[in-house]
Amino acid sequence: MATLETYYYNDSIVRKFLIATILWGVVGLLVGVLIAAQLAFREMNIGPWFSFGRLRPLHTNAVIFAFVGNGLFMGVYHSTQRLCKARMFSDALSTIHFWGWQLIIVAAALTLPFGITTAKEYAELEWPIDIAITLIWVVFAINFFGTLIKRRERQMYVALWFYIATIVTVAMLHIVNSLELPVSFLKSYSIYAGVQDALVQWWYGHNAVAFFLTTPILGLMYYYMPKTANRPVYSYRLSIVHFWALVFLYIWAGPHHLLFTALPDWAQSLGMVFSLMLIAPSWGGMINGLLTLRGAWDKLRTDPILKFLVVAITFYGMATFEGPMMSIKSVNALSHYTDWTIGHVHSGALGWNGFMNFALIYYLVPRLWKRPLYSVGLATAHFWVATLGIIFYVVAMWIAGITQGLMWRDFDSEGYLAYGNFVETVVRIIPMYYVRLIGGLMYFGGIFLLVYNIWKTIAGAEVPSDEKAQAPALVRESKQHASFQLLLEHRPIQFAVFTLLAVLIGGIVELVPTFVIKSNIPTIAAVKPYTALELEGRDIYIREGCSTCHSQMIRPFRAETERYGEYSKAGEFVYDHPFLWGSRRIGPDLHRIGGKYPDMWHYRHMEDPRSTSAGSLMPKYDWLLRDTLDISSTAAKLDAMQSLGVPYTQADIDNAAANLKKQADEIGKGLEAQGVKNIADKEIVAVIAYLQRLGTDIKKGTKSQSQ
Amino acid sequence: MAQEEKVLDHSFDGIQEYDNPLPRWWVWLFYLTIIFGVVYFPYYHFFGGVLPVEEHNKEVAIVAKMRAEKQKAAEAAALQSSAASTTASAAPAAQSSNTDSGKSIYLTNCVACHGQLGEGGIGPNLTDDYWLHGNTEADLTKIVTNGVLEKGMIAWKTVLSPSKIRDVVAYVQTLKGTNPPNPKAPQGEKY
Repeated sequence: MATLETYYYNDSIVRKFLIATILWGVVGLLVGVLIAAQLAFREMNIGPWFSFGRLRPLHTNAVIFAFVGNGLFMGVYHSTQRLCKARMFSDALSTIHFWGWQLIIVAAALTLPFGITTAKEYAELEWPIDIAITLIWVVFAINFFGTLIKRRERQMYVALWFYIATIVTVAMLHIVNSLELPVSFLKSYSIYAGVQDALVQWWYGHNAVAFFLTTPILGLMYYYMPKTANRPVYSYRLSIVHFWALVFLYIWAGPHHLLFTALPDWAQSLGMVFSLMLIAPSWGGMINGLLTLRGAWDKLRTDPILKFLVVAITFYGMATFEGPMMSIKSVNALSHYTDWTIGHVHSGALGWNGFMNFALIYYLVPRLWKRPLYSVGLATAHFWVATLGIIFYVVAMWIAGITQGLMWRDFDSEGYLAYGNFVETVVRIIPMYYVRLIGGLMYFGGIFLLVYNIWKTIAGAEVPSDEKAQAPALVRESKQHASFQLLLEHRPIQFAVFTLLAVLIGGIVELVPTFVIKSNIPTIAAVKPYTALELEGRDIYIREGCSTCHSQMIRPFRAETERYGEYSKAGEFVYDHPFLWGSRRIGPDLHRIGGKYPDMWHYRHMEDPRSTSAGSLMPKYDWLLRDTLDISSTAAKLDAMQSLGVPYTQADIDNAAANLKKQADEIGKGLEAQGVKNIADKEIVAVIAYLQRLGTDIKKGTKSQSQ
Repeated sequence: MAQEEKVLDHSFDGIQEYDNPLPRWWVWLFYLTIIFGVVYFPYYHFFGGVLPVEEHNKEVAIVAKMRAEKQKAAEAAALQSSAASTTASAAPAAQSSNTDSGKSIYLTNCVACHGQLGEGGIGPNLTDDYWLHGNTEADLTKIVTNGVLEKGMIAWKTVLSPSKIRDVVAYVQTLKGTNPPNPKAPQGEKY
């Protein structure tokens, strides 16, 4: 018998993450409520810094990486120590992890409102912050695996498997998707272009949902659910099967974000069928969570923690059913680009992630501060108001999404679009934006009940010293394991390697052919690189977050080709670093906007969108009319693009400024003829040049061919 | 029920696990989705299932054919009625254009560029005697239908049906000489 060792859990790091979770929860929800209000009342878009296009990424980043991120670190640091019967590997690494992560969040808050963004969804942060994220993630990984190595519990519990999968996979996703070429300290271009960039982005984006918002939280569920219910987990075998199935299958499903786009059809179909195969593995987690409560359902009546847990798991089950359904091509044809998707992600974010965080906070605070919760009644009230808030939110988004989706595709009896004017489809769903705002405000109000409750619980409390525990040290054993699974459960590094193999397969099968097989992206000879001015205009488009509300991807449906023009082809995006296909049409698609309206129309439209499109929700972009275009790095930008394979000549780069000025003067002259003075050096001219170029190359191609 | 189940002999920080089998329905659900994938993917990618672009092109062809037939029938009917009528020139316009409907189409689609009263803005004034591309019914129909891309006039043929275009053209023709406030300076030639 080994000697009994005494050790202390590092609880202070858990307390830190807990406070950060609450703080960022308030901030993330506040920004969410603000942008919801901006859609209901467009006057709430204030200036460049607080306009929807820039704040929406701030909201998503704050909720995902700050609120859920800190929450999962809180739970992982607390449960891992107990499951390993060991203190975290290094107090220094724990502290670096905590403060490093908070600095990254602050850096996000200080860059996104200023338009410093890569435009890739949930990966908007610029390259220096990307590097910081990588370093801090490595710190987390060393700290976590170090703890596994020095554990005193021989076998690893299922929660730890999920944490391992999270750490390994998020590292892979983040690094591959963030590969970018810096132009300056805060500006870079994705090394991938067009279809390839889109595929990498949604391989990342989808699996960020899988491995940042799902697997770690399932791990937490496997620890805190049986702890709270005080019941054994329903089925060990189910946990093995659904873990490996989930980890292996999830990676394949990314292309379901790109159905009907210019992505090769085979990849789209893989995305769809693997999404459907995900239903059962996802539900495995739900079953194991809910059935663990058998024999303890009565506790649900009195315990708000269990209420939060059960509803979180229920929303998880619902969202993981809805997701695969939305991945079915014919359903996606209706749901994509609409608010249905927004509703879907919020049943995940508010229902699953938010409620898991709240459950953990209410569970941990009394244990970490050694004081009973100030008010169980308040926690129960929080539960009810937040649950109702989610229902208001999600139902409003379902109605809005399906309504708008149906209007977009509606033809009249003569075969013409019933709502040819896009704004009609926007105005129709604004009432739902009011309802969504009410739902959001209820959820936001709920978190203040939590803040007050926690404050009253811990205010004035003496912070307890780290919890003491005892366990015998592990002695080396040379035992034959009954199965390979059992062996892995005793070997953290092998477990991690196997997980990495499981997640690599799907990625390799989908990414590699798209990169190396030419026929996947048929080239179009007429497609040429952007001019210097157009490139600057494109960067302003990125800065203002235009792709937050406007897609550049016309799907091959008659309802879209009639409305927007020829459907988008893969070969049209080969110089698009990064791609700007977008994922939501709060405004119309812009891929064929080039040449559709005169320059003057765009000028007036940016000055006040209502002057050209009555009823439009779009914020004013009047600063584009006043601000002078910064051309100090134009040549460097072309140079960077050249390094990425865009065929600019040395002359293009050397004469970038002169070429830019020439094209700007031409546009400026045209506008001056219509009464606008001194405009040629302003940002608007670059934006107009870019918009007028969009989607036009292919038309030149067909013209010259037919002549 | 719970007593009969076997609890596994390991425990993690006090958490125990049952040795329950996988739920039957769950296993079947999993198999079903796998079978679906195994059938779906080869069907669409090896055995000739119709993919989105092909489906789109088929639909577009059907609608184009339908529209051409309709157009032909309309022309035949117009020819017949003009042959029957003694005042051939007045007949087609009088026959069916509706300036009320034309006005509502104008207010939804045209005011952004041509002004609430046709006084002009981004686009030219529609109330004066000057026209850039002609002012006959046939000219206007052509302009509205196909647009004047280099001037920024949109082609409306995918948004407005021929009958709607006829209505809005008829309405625009009523604007001439209405002298709205703040007119845009004349453009083009005098007619």
